[in-house]
Amino acid sequence: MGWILFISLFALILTGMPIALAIGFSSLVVLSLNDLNLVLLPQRMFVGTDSFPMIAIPFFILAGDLLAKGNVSQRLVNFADACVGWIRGGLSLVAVLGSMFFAAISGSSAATTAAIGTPLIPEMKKKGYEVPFAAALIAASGTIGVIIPPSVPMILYAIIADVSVAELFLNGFLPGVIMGGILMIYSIYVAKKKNYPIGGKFSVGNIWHHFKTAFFGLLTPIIILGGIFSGFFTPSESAVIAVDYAIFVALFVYRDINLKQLYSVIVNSGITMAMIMFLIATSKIFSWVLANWSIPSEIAHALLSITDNPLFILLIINVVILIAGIFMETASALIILTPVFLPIVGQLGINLIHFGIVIVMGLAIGMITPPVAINLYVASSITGESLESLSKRILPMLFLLVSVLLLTTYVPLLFY
Amino acid sequence: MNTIALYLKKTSDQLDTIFRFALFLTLSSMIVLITAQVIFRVFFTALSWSEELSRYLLVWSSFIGASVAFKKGAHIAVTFAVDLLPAHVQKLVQSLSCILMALFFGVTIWYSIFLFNVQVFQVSPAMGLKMRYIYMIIPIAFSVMSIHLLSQFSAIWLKESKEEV
Repeated sequence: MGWILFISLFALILTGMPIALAIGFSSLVVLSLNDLNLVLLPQRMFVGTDSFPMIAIPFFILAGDLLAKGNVSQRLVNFADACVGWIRGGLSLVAVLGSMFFAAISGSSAATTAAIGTPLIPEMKKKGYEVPFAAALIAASGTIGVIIPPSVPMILYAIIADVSVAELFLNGFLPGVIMGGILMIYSIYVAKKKNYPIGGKFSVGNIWHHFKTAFFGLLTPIIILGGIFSGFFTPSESAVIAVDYAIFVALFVYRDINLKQLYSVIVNSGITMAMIMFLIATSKIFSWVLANWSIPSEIAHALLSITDNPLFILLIINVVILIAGIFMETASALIILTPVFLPIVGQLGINLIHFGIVIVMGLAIGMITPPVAINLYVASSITGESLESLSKRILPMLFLLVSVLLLTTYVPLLFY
Repeated sequence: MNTIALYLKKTSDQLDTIFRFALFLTLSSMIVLITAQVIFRVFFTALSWSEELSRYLLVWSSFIGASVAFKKGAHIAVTFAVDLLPAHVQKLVQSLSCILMALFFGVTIWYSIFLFNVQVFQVSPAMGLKMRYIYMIIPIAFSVMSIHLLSQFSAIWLKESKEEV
């Protein structure tokens, strides 16, 4: 049954059918071949979406969209510029640092790429940076969006693997900062080689001035994460509080958007979240099929019969995650792969939080590997540069990020 | 043929406008409800029913939003394989995938109506809502998606007949 399930799934995906429906239909094929009661379909879809922790998904998306629609991202970029703009190649450091700031507000990588790339790339072009480099760097920095909390893929993983969202969030910081750090070092190296310009002078007064204008943006992560880590809010509640705060800031403090725009931002975020929720709904049928025929434990068994060396198995898992990331989008890959890998990871005694960071980071890297590479598409639509020219410039950054992935896999950088 | 396709497109557009507004309503009521939940827990006594109601609103907004996303063609799909095919094969593959989707929609609608008829007495634990009415969103949303699908399907073939002329 496992073969029928996976072959029909991939065949359907290749016909261009939406992945959520391909997941549902392949499960339907197996269920009807075995003459099972198909009332499972609506039931499992209902159970899949009926969850309080999942409420965090729409509202972390909405909070990020609201703050990106207003000028909060421009203000964060200005603040980052005051902090690191005086170094050679300053604006490329601003790209990375700005993405890290925005990552702490937004739970999505594409949103981070768009929020930072839209104001920054034209400025980099003006200052003499090569546009393909600038766009590639912002796409690569965008991957940090789902590593530094909040993070929609981490919420998904936490629900599937039944671990704490807060703990996963807490352990995302350090890997996210390492990713940012290594991209910054690479940017300085490129800037020296290509002789990119130095921005303004270093001045504490300037930093303070931009800190004040960006203050309400910078306060957002403190409200979101402070609330979760202190145990004051559940992650879902904190997502809604973040939305309240973002609406307040956008409507009354910065006055960046009006009520009509608010309506369209809410509807568009609703569409984005529904794409993920619909995947979750149909994958709940899929995971029932997986569990009913114990397919994941069979795969685990097969893999463990090749080798029982955990280091080697982790390497295989990493390769599978990276390959999946080349051809699939993050949420769908996460939803399909997590239940398949959990039994193996469990048998090897690997910490589930640690594994969550590894799988989310591996799939985040998938956002910059074409053909399915959402961050590259966003960066290419901002700049008008072709996907090929961006792909060439992103290659060294890709290697650096993969090395961070291996570091995170083999050196558990966890706080617990 | 053309009039049917036009009529389908008009119906599908109108349903989409209604569903967009419904999506806005469900999401904004969740914002109000969960904000109230936090305020009541901190300053007064915790509400017993807000968590359950917001969960059901999430179910509703998910399926309503899925229909809007379907109309918009926003659902994540892998198109690079289909794009490699010659145009007329592409059309056949697309039609096949449409027919299979219609089958999936049909089965889901059929069994969710069955569920509605069977679950007469089950009520939700906190509010005592009849579960069958909460399940209702599944056949409704899938019916709307079927209409969007029909409209898309007719568009694929009408384009071809125009090209042939």
